[in-house]
Amino acid sequence: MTKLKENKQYIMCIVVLTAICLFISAALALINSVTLPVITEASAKRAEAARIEVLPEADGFEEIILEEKPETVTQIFEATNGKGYVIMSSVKGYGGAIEIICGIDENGCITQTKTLSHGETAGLGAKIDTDEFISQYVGKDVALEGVSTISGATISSTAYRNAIKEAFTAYEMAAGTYSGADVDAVSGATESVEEGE
Amino acid sequence: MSKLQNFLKGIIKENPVLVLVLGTCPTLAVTTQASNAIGMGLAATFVLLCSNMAISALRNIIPDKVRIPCYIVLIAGFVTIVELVMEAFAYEIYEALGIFLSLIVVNCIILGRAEMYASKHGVVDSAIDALGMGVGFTLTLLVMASIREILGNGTWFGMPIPVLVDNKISIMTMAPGGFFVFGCLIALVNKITKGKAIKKKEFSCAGCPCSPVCHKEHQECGEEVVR
Repeated sequence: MTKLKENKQYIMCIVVLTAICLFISAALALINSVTLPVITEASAKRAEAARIEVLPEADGFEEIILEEKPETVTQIFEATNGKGYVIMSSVKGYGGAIEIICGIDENGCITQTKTLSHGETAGLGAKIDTDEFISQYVGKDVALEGVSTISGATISSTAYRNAIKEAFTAYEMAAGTYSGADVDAVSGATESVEEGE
Repeated sequence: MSKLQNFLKGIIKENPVLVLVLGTCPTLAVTTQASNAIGMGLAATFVLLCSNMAISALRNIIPDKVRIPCYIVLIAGFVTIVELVMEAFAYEIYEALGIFLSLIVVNCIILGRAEMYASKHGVVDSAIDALGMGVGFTLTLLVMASIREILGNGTWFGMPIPVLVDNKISIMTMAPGGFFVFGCLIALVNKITKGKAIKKKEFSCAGCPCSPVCHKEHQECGEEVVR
């Protein structure tokens, strides 16, 4: 008799837990069906707004799929009126991925860069999200002359710089001006930056 | 205990953060800005209210052996709902709270109230308890965040405060400042309640997940903790 009671208890455990899980899953599926379209639309809008922000002269964007592109570059967009390219990158920083969006105009100069998301240390690496840091990239060409790193946040700011370098490589690939020699020059320059610190 | 007392106990006497010392991780993490504190407080309150009511309603159905998994599934479900809704309709707060929003699942306040209160009381009482605890949590976060934001960043809800904005004490927005304010507030609450707040032994044993396994009398167990 007690054996039977014990078995019944175990079955109850399984039944109740399964029932609760099923019910919660159903509820979540229902909520998700309501919020998913809103979330997708909002994130598409945010991405479009970010692209316009870094390349204000463009009137629209078209995504370019390259067969080979630098490792950190995630997406490349060309302005439909030929005013330049917007390159999105994801680079490993000090505290995880740093998502950067960078606009480069038809003359090969940076129009604007923007940090979309990062997990860098507040007060140190997080300065890569400040105007002070970002503004020094504006108007620079592939040489990135005069761009300095942040003291105390070398890893974050060097990662940022490398991401922009690779964005230029992607830009050249997309624009068709890319030559293999550039890769060596770029990676050579990156190394000297690191050694310099 | 009257319904009003039941509600009010969460604010000072049994304040979840400062007296029960639960949910310390999100408390220290999100109290760098007053607006984040409000967002976190409201999100946790909503989850607490839903989970307390659901658990209290199901308290006679859920078998003792699997109650913790059942609670976690229910709580995780409600947290995901909050997360989805916030991502869709309050994206800025969603971004600011980051990982701590999903971590409400393992927020000890919610699991603690489920174990200590909702699993033993009716739906209405549990709802009132949840509201009281939620308000207590939100108020504590707001006070802590206000102190840290005003001193550490010179702003309040993002509005700059003259004089202070030029004399920031930035350590207040970092982890040490969080611990500092946390300690000061606990000391203040102890002073106000003059030690009359709930004693550790009154909640330690019943709240322990091992209590049904460990066959000690509750009183005995509590004394052991105090000792």
